[in-house]
Amino acid sequence: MGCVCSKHLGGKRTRHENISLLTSQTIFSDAEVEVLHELFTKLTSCVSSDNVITKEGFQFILTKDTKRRSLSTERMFGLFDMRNDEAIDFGEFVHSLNIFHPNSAQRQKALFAFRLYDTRQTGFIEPEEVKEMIIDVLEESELMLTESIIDSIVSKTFEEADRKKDGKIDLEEWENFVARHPLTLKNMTIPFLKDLPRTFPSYLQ
Amino acid sequence: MSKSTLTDSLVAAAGIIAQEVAGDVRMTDTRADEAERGITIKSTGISLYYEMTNASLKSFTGARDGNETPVTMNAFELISTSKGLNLGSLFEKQMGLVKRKTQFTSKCPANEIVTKIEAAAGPMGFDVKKNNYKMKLLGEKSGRKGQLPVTTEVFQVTPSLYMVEMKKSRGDALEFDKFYKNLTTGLKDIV
Repeated sequence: MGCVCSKHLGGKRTRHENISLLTSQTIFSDAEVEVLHELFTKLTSCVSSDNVITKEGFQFILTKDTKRRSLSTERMFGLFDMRNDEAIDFGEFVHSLNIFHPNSAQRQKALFAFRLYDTRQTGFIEPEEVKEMIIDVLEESELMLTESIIDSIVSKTFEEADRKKDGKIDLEEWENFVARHPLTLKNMTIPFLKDLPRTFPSYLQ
Repeated sequence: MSKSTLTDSLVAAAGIIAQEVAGDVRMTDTRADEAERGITIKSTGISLYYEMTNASLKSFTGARDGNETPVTMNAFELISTSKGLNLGSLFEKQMGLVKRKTQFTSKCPANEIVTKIEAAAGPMGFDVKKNNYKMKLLGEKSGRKGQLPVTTEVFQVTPSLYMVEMKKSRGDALEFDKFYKNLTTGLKDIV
């Protein structure tokens, strides 16, 4: 799914046209896109002088940590950066957040999450990838678990999810798994997105 | 005291009949011939509800209704607690809503964890409400931003490993940090 808007909200199209375009392509209304634009501007202004969010900027915004390489923010950044140009522009920002909207299809959320966890982008979620992500979250929260405990967490989940017993989770098994365990996709919904103008009234002038 | 009188006394204790008439009224002798002849012929079933005091509830070691084990947390749920995967925080920060969530793991059995948190939070001035493996701790003293409500839940990661999540949605963040620090100092043996 490509993003057809230009990198800056200025440029050849007028701002109004760009907002209408995003509105037509996503669940968001005009007003909501306006609010998101305000938010985006605020976010980019604290991390760069361009109208884009870089990988370092993204990590800083989410974790306030610039030293530790965070696998989870890398993955999230990678998915937002749909054009793969090491930068998130406003269009990509809105299109990605669209998936987190409460009214967005479960299927879309499941697919996004699947790609998040498929860190090596092989088309499957493999035990090594899950293990890597667990180690990452433990480092972030400074929790210590032995390798054997981590291995047992991974194998327990794979037992549940890997129904074809081929040592990896494909998209079908994943969709099945999250249907049985809906809380797995809890972070794929941001309730605030449902009523942005009311939540950020000062953003609309 | 006869058996029927004793029954009346129990019924009176449950508040169904007045104490003064216990013994005379013979509440469970429901048949006409029983009342007439003053004897119990058939047994009568009756339910009495008794509310346990907080003290007796705390020392109750029997099975409780509801879930016996905490909710399990799979590998992906564990991974999704990472900051990088929680974009809601972007919006909360903009709204000035400083949520706080922390977690720790423990090898102690889940019900022991719950008991220990309660034992530590109580003396700190928190009112504790339990519902299976979820707890609501409400700070009694009025802090800088009103009372501090903390919710905590115990999840099972593996049969011998539990994750305890603690979060606050409102109230002062610094107070929460202080609370968490004091709490984990008191919980040293389970963390």
